[in-house]
Amino acid sequence: MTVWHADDALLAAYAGGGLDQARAASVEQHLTGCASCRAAIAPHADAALIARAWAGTVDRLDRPRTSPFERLLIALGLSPSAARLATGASAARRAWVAGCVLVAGFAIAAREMDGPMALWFLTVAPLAPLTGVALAYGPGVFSMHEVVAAAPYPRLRLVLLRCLPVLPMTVLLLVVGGLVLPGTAGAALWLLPGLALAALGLVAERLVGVQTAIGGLAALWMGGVASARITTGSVLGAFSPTVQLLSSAIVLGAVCLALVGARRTRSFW
Amino acid sequence: MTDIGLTEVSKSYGRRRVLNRVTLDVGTGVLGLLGPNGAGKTTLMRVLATVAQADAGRVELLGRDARDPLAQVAIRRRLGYVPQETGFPRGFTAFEYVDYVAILKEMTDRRTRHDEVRRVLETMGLTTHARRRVWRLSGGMKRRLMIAQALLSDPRLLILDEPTAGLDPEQRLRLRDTISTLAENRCVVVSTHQTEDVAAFCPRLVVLHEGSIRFDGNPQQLAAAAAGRVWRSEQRDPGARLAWRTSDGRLRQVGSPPPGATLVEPSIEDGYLLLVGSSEPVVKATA
Repeated sequence: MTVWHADDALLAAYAGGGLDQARAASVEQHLTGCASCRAAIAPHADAALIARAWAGTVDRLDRPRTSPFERLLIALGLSPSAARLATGASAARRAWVAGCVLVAGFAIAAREMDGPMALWFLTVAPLAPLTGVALAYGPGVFSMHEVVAAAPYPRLRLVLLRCLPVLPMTVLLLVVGGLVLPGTAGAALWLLPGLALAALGLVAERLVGVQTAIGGLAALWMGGVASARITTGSVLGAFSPTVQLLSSAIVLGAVCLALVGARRTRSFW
Repeated sequence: MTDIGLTEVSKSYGRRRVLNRVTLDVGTGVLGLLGPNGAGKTTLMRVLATVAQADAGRVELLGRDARDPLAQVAIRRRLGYVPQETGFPRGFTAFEYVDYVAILKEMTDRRTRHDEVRRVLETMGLTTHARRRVWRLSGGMKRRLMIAQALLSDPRLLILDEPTAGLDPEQRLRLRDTISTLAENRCVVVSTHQTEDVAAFCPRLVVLHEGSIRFDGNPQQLAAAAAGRVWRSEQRDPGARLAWRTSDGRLRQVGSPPPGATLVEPSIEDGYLLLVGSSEPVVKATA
């Protein structure tokens, strides 16, 4: 137990940052073991500084944990709040699973599609996952639907953001499912154009707004389907190996950019 | 100032008409919306929260036409809504849930947003539960969490559908205090089944029945509507619409009193029971 106590002038100098390093370290050491001096230094403390430090500590404790996927999205260029909305969608597990199932169902149906129906089905193909995700986060499935519906956040942008955790997970599920059910992994290929368009959509919506971005990309895709029909005689040309390769390149490019960006900020893992 | 202006508003689901030519003006203060199950309360609340669209009539909220998509966004920026059905994603903590809603309310700056989240959690007495998973919270806490998210960004219009459901008596009293304080400078609409709630903190109440407004006035006026139609006796009267034995062992009876009956002071509950059980015309008693 210590019998020596720092006097008021010394405590005031310490609190005001007026001591040299050695004396400051000595006073600091003493304060950790002396309740009486800790009480005596309180009037000298900078109240604003303490309030800021305390607020920062509380914020650090309260702050939602940033998942690796969220960091990836931020590195891709998404704002932290948009990344939070995208990854927060997976916290709504039922809607997330429903979204994955609907999108996977679409991919498997697309793989089996043939004949005249294929023309109409494949024309809207990359937009079907968006519809699936929108349905999965609709009334009856998504527990927060009513609260979200009364919020001012743009609906289309929200659907686009919700695709981000759903589409990659569906591709992964189909690939893993392919190990058990032969041919299932191939269905994942049908989702690649949708995934690439979602990535492009998020870039474009920051430049031209969400409605123009989605409308423009939809028009671009339909133009691609029409030109495939004219040049090859089949809409399946729109899903040719070249298109799949291009889509894969866009998706991989986006992921690589994210990883490079994340390493620069040293905060990914 | 009129924050809510409804003119001849109707809404149907299939062939069933749930709102029938509802006309209502509401300004600063608390408006209590009372009515039996299926009266159209929740549909009206959803229309006021811009979640549902009216089929006919004019809905003006905060001075804007609620049918106009651009106006809807402006209204939603100044709106807080507690829906009747409250569901929570299991993965969220209480803080994360309110933070998620704050982003949906376009609060993008993290530090400012987190300060606001802490403020509303503190207002609803949930600070110490901020880091708990929502699914671990009690029913009353979940209800308070829903109200907390509605208070984000200090809304001018608060739509609270059954906010006292699932709360214990102390929490209900605290919520009355909170709502009364909030209503000092904003418009609050509270839908409830609880007649004691409206009597306690709603200076104005509207009774909705079968999609139509059956009463619009203050709680005293609703109670007065049953004057001369509530009496006490030892024996059940076959002509009474409703009768129940009270704590003193005598029967409190509501309806047309028999000759010589001892009339008693009616309560708001008596007025309400007579109103929703009758086919009498609308009582418009607003001063």
